[in-house]
Amino acid sequence: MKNKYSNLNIIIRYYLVIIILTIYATYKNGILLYNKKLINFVYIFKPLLLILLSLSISYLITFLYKKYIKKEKYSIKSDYNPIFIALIVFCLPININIFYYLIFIVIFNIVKLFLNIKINYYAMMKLIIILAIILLNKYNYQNIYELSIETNLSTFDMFFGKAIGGIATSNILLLIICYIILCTLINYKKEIPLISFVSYFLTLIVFCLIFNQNIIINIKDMICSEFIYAIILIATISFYSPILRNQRIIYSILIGILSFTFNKIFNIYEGVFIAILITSIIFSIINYVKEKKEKK
Amino acid sequence: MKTINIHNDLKNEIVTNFIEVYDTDYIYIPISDEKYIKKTGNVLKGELVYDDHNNKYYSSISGNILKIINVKSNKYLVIKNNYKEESINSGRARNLDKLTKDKLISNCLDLNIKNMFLSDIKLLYINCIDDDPYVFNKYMYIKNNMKELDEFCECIANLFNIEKVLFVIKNSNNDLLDMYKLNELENSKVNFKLLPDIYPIGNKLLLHDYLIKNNDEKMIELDDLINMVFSIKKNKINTEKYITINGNNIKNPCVINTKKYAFLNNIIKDLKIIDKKYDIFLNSFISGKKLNNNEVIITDDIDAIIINKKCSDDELECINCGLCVEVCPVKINPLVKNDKCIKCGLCNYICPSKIKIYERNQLNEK
Repeated sequence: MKNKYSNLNIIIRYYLVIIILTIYATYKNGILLYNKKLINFVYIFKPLLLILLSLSISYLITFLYKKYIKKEKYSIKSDYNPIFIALIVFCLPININIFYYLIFIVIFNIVKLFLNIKINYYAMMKLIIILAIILLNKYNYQNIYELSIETNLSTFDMFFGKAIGGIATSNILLLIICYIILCTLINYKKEIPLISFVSYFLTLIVFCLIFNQNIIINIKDMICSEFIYAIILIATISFYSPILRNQRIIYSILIGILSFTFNKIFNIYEGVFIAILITSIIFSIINYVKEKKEKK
Repeated sequence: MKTINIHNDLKNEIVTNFIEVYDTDYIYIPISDEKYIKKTGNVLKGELVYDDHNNKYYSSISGNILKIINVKSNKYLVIKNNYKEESINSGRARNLDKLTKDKLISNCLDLNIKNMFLSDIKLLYINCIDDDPYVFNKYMYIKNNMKELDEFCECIANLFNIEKVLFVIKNSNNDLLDMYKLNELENSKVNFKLLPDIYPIGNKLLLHDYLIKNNDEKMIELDDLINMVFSIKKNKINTEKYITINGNNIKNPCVINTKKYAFLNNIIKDLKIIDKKYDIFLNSFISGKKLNNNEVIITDDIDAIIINKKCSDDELECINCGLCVEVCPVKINPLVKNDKCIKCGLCNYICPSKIKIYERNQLNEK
């Protein structure tokens, strides 16, 4: 019986999101820079190349593993890993070296096959890549154009993606469209982004009131940060988010509060990923203890 | 809780074809021990042929008892039809006007129903909802026999001072309302109650929780009422059974009325199948058992045969989406074995990875 709740349906929606974000990434980090004669023609397609490479390498590695090591039938319909790896590509800096990037993708895909953990692997992957970039002294989210000018953006500009950020994480309007697309999926945990956002916003207001800080600046920080991208696409990854509704609410609230805290402690690009990683660790410990108790 | 409109998903329509199939050459009565066989040689329609204290089987035809056969691990008593329809009962129906409370209670075959009538009843619900989107047995029975049921319910309402007797049906079966305008009579105690068409609202336990608010409100199944009509009013044993033959791989879905213990293969041989590759489900496509062949004997437990186009059986890895938890009508986590499970199969139906959660739990139980 064909039904609308199939895996294929879910994968198609995620691909739609990937296509939208790739087009935006190509425009922001490719076409716009080419028009200003800051890059050559081939460089326009760097975001597209990164996405295609991550998808093809991920599919190939899983296929080879299933066919030759596990000797199982490989079904593309149940392989979500390439999609989530592609989603992580969107929140990396555009300056990333393609060679290093390829090495990371291969390593993470291989490790994922053998590591069966219940903590958010993709948030961890992004943080490890960023750590490596910092160690290589290449940490910078600005593209060539952003490096060459001084900007004073309005909130409106930031909303439409003119802010500095990952390859395709800064356009809030597009992220809202992606959220609406994903909300049409029956299995998408749509309450997680909403509750996380409200929780982040409330923490922000409480923080500003207690420490007498400017609320507008903090809201601008939120818009520029990768928080909205991560709560829509990374925090909602079903493998690493709770099944039960009550747990999901607590999970979302924690992500909101911790994201704000880590955005303040570290920076606005990595804070949310640390928050997601820590929250997923907390919940995997809770579920592990619960399972052990139930077995007893 | 997330509710799913399965009718919309499946795009299945109400079955309106009704066929009577009585020309069965043989019937096969399931037996567990030969010593409980009550009859040999000739047998009459409605005659007790097997009674092991747990199960009582009455012959649905008149004819000769031939032999005992073994099919897989089950034993069957074979009776050959002589097509004379000689019945053990006189066939003389009782006059409902002369029926008394005591007579009615003493003629009730079911102990639970007997006890129910001994208590105070203000409102009596009759569950007429078929517990599967593809099944239309109760709907069809009401459509064919409402006048008889209405008359009987009026009688028991008057005898036991019941204020209302309500036939509980789904919104989608509201054509019954137009067909039998029961509420036209102002003093009529019998009426319909419409409920939203949400699977598995027809489940006995769920419907009881949904409808019953006070101690003086009771609910019985339509099958119980039919058995009462047969034993009290018609004064005979019900030897026939309604079976729905439906599914997305059948050109002419229908409800058939056939003899109990007939061989299903003979009944469905004339069906027009659309695609040669198909799956057969017993009773329910959502929670029912998938059959490897159609060698099935029609017993009281069999309500429907669903023939659907073949689909892939491949189970994929669980994606932890939590849909099974969200749709569960009894609000349990179907991934963990729980005694509260009503075996509706919604978790199976909704699972994007096609994991047979319900069947897996059943295996664990075994």
